[in-house]
Amino acid sequence: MNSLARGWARWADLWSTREPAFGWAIFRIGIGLCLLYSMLSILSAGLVDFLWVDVEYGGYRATDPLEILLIDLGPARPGVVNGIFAVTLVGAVCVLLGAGGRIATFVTLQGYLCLTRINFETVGSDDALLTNALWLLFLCDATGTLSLRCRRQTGRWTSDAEVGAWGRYLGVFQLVIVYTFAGLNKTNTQWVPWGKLDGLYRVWMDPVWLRFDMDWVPYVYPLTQVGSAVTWIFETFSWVILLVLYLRHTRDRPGVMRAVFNRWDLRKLFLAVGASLHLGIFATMDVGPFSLVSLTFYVCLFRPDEVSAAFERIGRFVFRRRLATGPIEAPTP
Amino acid sequence: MAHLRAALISLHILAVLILTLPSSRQMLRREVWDRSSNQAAFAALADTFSWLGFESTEDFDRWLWGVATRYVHVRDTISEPLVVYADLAGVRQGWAMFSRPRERPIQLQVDVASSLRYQPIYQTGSREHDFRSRTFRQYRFRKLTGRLARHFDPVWYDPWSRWIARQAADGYPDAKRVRVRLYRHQTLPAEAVRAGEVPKGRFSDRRLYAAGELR
Repeated sequence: MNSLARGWARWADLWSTREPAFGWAIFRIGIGLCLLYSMLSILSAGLVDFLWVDVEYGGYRATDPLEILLIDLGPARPGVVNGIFAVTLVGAVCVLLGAGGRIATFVTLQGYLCLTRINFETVGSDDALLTNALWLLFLCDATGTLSLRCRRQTGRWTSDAEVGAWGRYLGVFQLVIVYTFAGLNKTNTQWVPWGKLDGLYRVWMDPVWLRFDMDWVPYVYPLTQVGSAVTWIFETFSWVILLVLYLRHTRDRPGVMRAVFNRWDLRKLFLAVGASLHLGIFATMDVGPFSLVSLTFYVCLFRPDEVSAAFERIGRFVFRRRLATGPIEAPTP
Repeated sequence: MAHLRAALISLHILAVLILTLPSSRQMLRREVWDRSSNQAAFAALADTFSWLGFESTEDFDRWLWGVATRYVHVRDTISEPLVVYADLAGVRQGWAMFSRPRERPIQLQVDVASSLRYQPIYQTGSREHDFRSRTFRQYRFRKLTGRLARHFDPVWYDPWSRWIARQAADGYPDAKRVRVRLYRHQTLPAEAVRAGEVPKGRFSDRRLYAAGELR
């Protein structure tokens, strides 16, 4: 077998790996919550018609015709738009609960795609991340455990079901794509370490996105410069995490770099910087569910047993704290 | 099956990678290149090249323009067959937000008048004037406001401002007139803010409506 054929066989093997479904189910639950956040915030603001109904029927602009799987549903009338919105919202609940299997996921995906593609002015990267996640959840079924389907079929909420790991791998790829190209887009003097580094300062001085007044930002300007540099470096070189994951996946093979990357788990550093970035954005600015969707994709960086262990640790911590802060018996006189 | 899966995934990865490569029609507009902010950025880039030891040609701008136009051409050519897949499946991806934070932030202001004088009812970021703030502060609405203001075109701006005016006319039954406008100010450097300077801005893109016609 020549090296090309061997390489291809390894490549095919990689995408054929199977693993317990727990981590993938957590990803599904996270995406379901983000979908609900995205849709309920529109509903509660009374913006469904504004965003998606054609100007002829009460919207603010001429939207593209509604289309699902190349089937033309005609102009965006309020009844049709609201119908699609309602079905998609129910679908999002199904994704969250793991009900309805792939069909529910597919319906949710098509409904969300249909709505978000008819008015390009109001969509963002979070929508693309959500629809890409729904494709993965549809093609790589995530309802095997932690789901209503599991409960109905086995009588328990969890099972030992397995799932293809390729969905999780593609989740990591998607995350890396988002970051790397965000970094490339930021390659200008506002963000690069050899530039002015005033990117983050300018973001925080724009009142449009802020949750609260940040008048103090000019007084910590050097810190915002450090933040700008860290953001650009993290995003532009986020592809390194693919190398880290590959070297950890092939830990049995020789090599100095492999040994180093298996000794120190750089995923934790990636998680720490990325989570700080997104939680910082989420705490100071209202830019929608982008940070939460991105953080959900971080689940894909870890094997199901690692995700499961992390949840067990969190559970033990919360349970212990509850015990510690529980009701205290009155002292006997 | 394993080989088919690997092949399909490979094609998907390739398509997403190519389609995510930055490309914008703005890159091919000479007037965008000639903007003072972009010219300053190019000058800084030329300095960086020199600092790194590359010989910076005298006409760096022309060289960069040639690279950019060739890049956009190649990118568009190789991505053309993949566009159908991306459009059908909706698998495009990007995150251009904050790539070039605005130097002149934009705020929305809505005023109504029941007599001669206008009273503000909504201002971006104001707790005092927060009419329909749940709607106007929703992140998609703010995103839209920013996009409309940045790429100003009355074709899109006018129906949007009219929709806002209609909300104001409905919310203030006594109002006779509604005014929708944008406030733009230059973000001051940190040292200027620390020295006590206050950013100066101006209103623009004002639209006036008779409230009765909106109801």
